[in-house]
Amino acid sequence: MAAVAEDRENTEDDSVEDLMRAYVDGSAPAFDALYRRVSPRLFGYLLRLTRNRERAEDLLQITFTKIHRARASYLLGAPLLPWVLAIARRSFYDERRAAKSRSEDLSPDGELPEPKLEEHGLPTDIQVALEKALDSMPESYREAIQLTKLTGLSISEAAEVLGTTPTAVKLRVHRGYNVLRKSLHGFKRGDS
Amino acid sequence: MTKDPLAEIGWPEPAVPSARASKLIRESVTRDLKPDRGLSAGVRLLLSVAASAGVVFAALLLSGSSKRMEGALLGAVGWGIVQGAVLFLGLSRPPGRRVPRVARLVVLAVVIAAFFVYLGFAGSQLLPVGEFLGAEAHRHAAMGCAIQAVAWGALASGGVLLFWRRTDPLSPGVSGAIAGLAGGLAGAVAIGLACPSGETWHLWVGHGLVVVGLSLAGWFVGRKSFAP
Repeated sequence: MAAVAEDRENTEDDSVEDLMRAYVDGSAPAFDALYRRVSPRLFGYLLRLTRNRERAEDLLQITFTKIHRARASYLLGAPLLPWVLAIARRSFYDERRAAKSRSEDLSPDGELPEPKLEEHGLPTDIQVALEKALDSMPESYREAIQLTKLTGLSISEAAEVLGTTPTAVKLRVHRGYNVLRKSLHGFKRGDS
Repeated sequence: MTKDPLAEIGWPEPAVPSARASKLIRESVTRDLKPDRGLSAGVRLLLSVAASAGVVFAALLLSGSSKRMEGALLGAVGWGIVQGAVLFLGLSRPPGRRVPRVARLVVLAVVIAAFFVYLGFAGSQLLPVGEFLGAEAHRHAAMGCAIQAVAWGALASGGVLLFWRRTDPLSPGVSGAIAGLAGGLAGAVAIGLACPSGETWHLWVGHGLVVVGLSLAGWFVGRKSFAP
């Protein structure tokens, strides 16, 4: 491990794994730095899963609570981002299962209401088309693209998070890209 | 040539949680933050092996020895080594750096198959299956052994699950199955030392199936216990 500064003032050079180690040792500045680095990718992933900002923020809070409770069980050397994303993913599916069992959360057709994905701060047409295309593709393709392209995991790390094989992730990403290409060609034709 | 629309796409920047949510999270985590370093993987591994060995010794002390003790003792040592190797291969490295999930499942299946083959060779007599199933005394003896082996095995598996609790959000089911396998082997070996029967069907049903059952149970329990 790279030497982690005692005072935690300069955390820019530390890896997230080093920051996690310092946080486990009780450093609040290390947690702050860790939060700054991890939360955008974690929140982006949760936002894509939930398609709702409020639910995503709730799940972000739940995820960090779980991380905090389990910090003594973090085995040193484990890649942090897949570890954290797997906890977030499990929290999402646990919450969805719980919501499904509560009848008041169901729409009349017995399905969970799926709120529209909130718009990003990039109001160009291609961005809107991209969001629509991502929104309309099967969940498994969307999740694979989100983890590899937007969150920055490797194929094998994404496979670990999704509980599948690297080959399956490659296939999902490839099929997802095909859906995106099709949608974006349509967008271009419609636009011109 | 048609241009690939994905080549020129601007992927969205990561979204940022609201300042209020971030403040809440930071406050709840950093309030009374204290050092909380857990056991290293090596210590967890040693404790797991010690728990299994402890279960085998306890079972031996309580059940007494059998006529087949000498040969079974050699087998027990051998399977103890196999159990340690399975735990080392399956759990000792941090999640995300372990051998792939599929490889761990293959190890699981191979060890279970090897244990059945071992029991086949360890048996001194093989009754026709109809005769084994038809005789109530045989069924009763196998059931008695299975119950005791499950009890001892569950104790050993519980120890492994406890020592590795919350350590693996990536593949908690597979890790749980490995804990179940380790405990199952301990239970089966423990009962193997005390059991006087050398009938092969008895060994397969009363001792071997316990390993399969506890591995499956470990898969389900592990999904809750290994994940934070």
